[in-house]
This record gives sequence, C-alpha cells and structure tokens, in this order.
Amino acid sequence: MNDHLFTAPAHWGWLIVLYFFLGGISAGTYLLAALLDLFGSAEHRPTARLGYLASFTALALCPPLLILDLDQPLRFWHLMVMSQRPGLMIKWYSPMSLGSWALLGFGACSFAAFLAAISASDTGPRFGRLGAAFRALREGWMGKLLALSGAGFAFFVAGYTGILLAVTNRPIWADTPLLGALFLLSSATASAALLSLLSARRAGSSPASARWLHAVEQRAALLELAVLAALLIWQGRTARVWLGPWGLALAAAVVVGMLAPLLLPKPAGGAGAPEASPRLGPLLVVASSLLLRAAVVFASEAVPHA
Amino acid sequence: MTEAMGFYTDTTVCIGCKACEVACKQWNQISSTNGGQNVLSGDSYDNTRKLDGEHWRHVKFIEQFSEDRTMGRWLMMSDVCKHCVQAGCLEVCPTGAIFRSEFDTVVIQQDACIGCRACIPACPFGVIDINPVTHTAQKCTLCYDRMKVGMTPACAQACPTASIQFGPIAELRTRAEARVEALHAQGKNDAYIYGDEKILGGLNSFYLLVDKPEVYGLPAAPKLPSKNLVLSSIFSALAAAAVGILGLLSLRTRTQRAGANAANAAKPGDAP
Repeated sequence: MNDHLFTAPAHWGWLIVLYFFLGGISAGTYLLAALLDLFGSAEHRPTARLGYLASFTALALCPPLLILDLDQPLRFWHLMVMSQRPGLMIKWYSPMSLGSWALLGFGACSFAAFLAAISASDTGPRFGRLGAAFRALREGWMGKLLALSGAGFAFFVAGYTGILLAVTNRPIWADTPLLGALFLLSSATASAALLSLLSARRAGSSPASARWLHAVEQRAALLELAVLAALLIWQGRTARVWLGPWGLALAAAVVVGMLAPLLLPKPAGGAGAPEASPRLGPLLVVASSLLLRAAVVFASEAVPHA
Repeated sequence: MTEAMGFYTDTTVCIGCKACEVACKQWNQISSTNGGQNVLSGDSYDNTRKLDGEHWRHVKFIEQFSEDRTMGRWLMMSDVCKHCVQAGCLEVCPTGAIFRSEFDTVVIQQDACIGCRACIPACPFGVIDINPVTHTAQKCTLCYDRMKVGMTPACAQACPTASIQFGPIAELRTRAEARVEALHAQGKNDAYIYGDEKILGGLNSFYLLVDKPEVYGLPAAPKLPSKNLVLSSIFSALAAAAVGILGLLSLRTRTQRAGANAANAAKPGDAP
C-alpha cells in the first residue's frame, strides 16, 4: 500500500489553484517579455511591453488570494518576519518560505517593468518627470538588469508551486518530482498563447513577434506533453488515482492545452490582420493551464485519509 | 536540551476505554465538532474517526474476524502525534511556528501559526489538521505545559492499563524491548516495535504492534517531504533552461531568416 495514502488532505481549494494559475501566467509573460527585450530586435518591443503589462496585472491578484486562503489572514507577515525575535524568516528548504520571498522579489521587478511599460504608452499616463525615470528602467544596462533579475525570479515563481506540492507526503503530488517542471512549461505555453491573443488585438505588434510566440507556444506544449507522460509513468500504480472526474479534467487539459497548440494554424500576423488571428484557440490554451492545476490539486485533495 | 521524552504505547494491553481521548480533550480544552453532539460513525466503536485539530488522541478499533466469525481478534491502539526526530511538519512550516522543544518533542506555537496548512500534507501520518475554533493547525503537544512543571501528560496519566507509558525515550525503548522479548517467549512472535531509528530518525512516540503497520493505519516506511526537494528543483531548472533555450533559438533563427531575406532582397540582380 502506498505510504502516501495515510496522510491528510491539505484543504487547498480554488484560491490556491487560482494563485498557481495567475502566478504562472505572470511569470510566463514576464519571461517571454524579458527574452524579447534582451535578445529581440526593436520590432519586438511592443509585444515585450504587453508582456510586462500582463505580468503585473496577473501578479497583483496573487497576494490577496494567498492571504485570503490563510486560516489566520492577519498573521501573513509571519512568513517574512520572525515572531519571537527580530529577524527575517527564511527557510531555504521550505518551498512556501522561499516562494514568499521569490514572490516579493518578482513583484518588485514586475512592478518596475510595469511602470516602464505603462509610461511608454502614447495614450496612457505619462507621469510627468517621473515618467522619464520609469521609461529609463527598460533602457540600457538598467533594462537588461531588470529583465535578467526578473526572469530569474519568474523562473522560480513559475516552477516552485509544483515543487511545493511535491514536497509533501500526499498521493499524486509526492509521487513524482516532475510537477515543478510541468507547471513551468504550462506557464510558458499559456503565457505565449495569452500574449498572442493580446498582441493580435493591439496596434503596433509585429507579425514576427506573433510568429515567435506561436513557435514558443508549440514547442513548450510539446515539452509539456512529454513531461506529463513521464510524470504519469513515474507515478506508476498511483496513477490509478486519476481514474475519476479529475482525470477527465486532466485529459481535457491535455487535449486543449497541449495538443491543440500543436495543431493550431500559424497566425496571420500581428496587428496587420487582427481579425484573421484565431482567438478561441489561445483562450482555450490559457484556460487549460488553469484546468491542469485544478486537476493536479483536486485529484490529490479528493483522496481521503486512509 | 534536557533528556528526550516521549510515549511508548503497548497496543497489546489497550482495552479501548478512550480515557486517553477524554483526558486529552479535558486538559487541553479542545473544542468539539458539532457542538459536542455525538454522531455515530458506524465503524466499530470508533466515533473519533481520525486524528485532527480537535482530536489529538484517537483510539483505533480494528476488527479481524474470519468470514464465519468463529475466529477473531480485536486490535486496539491509542494513536497520537509521533513527535518524529526528523519531523516533516517542522521541515515545511514557513513561519517557524512549529518548533522542537527542549524535551525533543514537536510543538506548534499557536500565536505564530498562520493557518497556511503546509504542515497537514507534509505529515506522513496524517496527524495535523486545522482546529475549526482557533483556525490554526493543532496536534498533540505531548502536554508541553505539564512537562514543563514535571507532570505526566494527561493521556498517559489517565490510561488505566499502562498501555500509554511516558518517560525518557532511552528508558522507554529498554522497557519496550523487554516487553517484545516477553511476548516472543509466550509464543506471540508477531510482536515488534514500530518507530525505531529506521523510521524518520526514530519516533518519540512509538508503538508495540502485533500486525503489519498498514493494519493500524500506519505507513510502513514514512519519509520526509523533502525527499523530493532536490530532484524536483533539478527537473524544474532543466525545464526553465529548455524554455529559455527554445525561446532564444527560435528568436535567433527568425532574426537570421529575416536578415537573409533582407539581404536577398537587396541584391542588385534581383531587383525588378
């Protein structure tokens, strides 16, 4: 009998699932934007800007979700500060502790990039003299530093939620070390789809960016599919737990979020032909990223204490 | 640290009286589900069902009967937090609310617990849960307050058959080994100790059992939640590297292709 069946469920519900999803989207969009900013040409700048805007918008929703999920929400600061003596509360071997700090670091980078992106808009707020300082955050060595450090945090935020689940004793979660990789790849796929969707509706986005996003989405989806297959093989006999409603949800996530991107046609190309760009496909890919996390969390939560 | 203290539970002399459960609830002033109203489980004499935030002691009733019910035996066991030497709950707690006391026991500091519930799935025995009244994670403290003033934990003091014994771990282990030898001498060769150093560095609340651990609802080889930490991190880092490389390569290929197209277009011979 699997030893993990003698444990109790964590009672993690939709708030946590939503956080896993939004955190992944935020990290993924930042990563893609940083890649475009660091290594792309000037024509990719508008898409990178969209990525930063999407990243902070998704991230802003995360702390409230996490705090509301606590049974003692007003004590959330204990995650950062020691309770009995002065000092910072950091436990390198606790994914939740490290994740809290990573979220703080990523939040700072994402907010700075968001300010730079929003102040660069022709139609948005210019922030007066501050606007120039904000815009400078994405220029020169400062821009490179912001993109690099933010990308480092983003990689962590995209993957640590899966590691957090794996570092338990629950069935499904603790039966594989691949959940972190799966969540990270799912974040990349869904974020590429989201940015495709957003940039198709925006003037100024280049067809080259749209094609690059499509390529990233396809390749990340392929990797995601491979990691999921490896994960199910790794789980061995425990994989039977998937024979239920959450297994069906996982199957739906596979079809919509991993197989569909591989079969979807190439976008017609950016703002030039927004009407021609498929919208339902990317939307389904984004939704499947949420479904994947829900399936993983709830499939284990549904296993009662033996 | 003072001497390591703990429980030795000899399940062969447990009579299922539940005095330990009552004493624990009374001393620790633990709330009762459903306003204390008794809701029958239909599972033998066990209406406590499991250990959780409101039940820090749980007497298990295991009925083993032949199909025609002419042969059978009852196994009874008063279950409790194992106060593991390598404790999974303590390992994952992000706030440091769970600490190791001077008696080598594991205690949850109630005013620092934020109710994140990370400790619940981390415990390999399913001991911890949220108390619905305090909204914090709770479990047996091995009567930390009583131990501090030299008293015996309430459950061990209430146990009428000395099934639950409290004392220094070294002394308890010697006592348990002697009991196993005595049972073997009586022909009860299935008696053994569950919770020696091979299990999570040793359980400071260990048991004398006469059947497989799974029969008592205990994992045969419990492990720390961190067993997956390094490998999970490596795989995530590999996935991160793959995403980065994929993104970069396709960006580079596209830039090169665009460059080549531009160069071809600029060739004078190709001009219309």
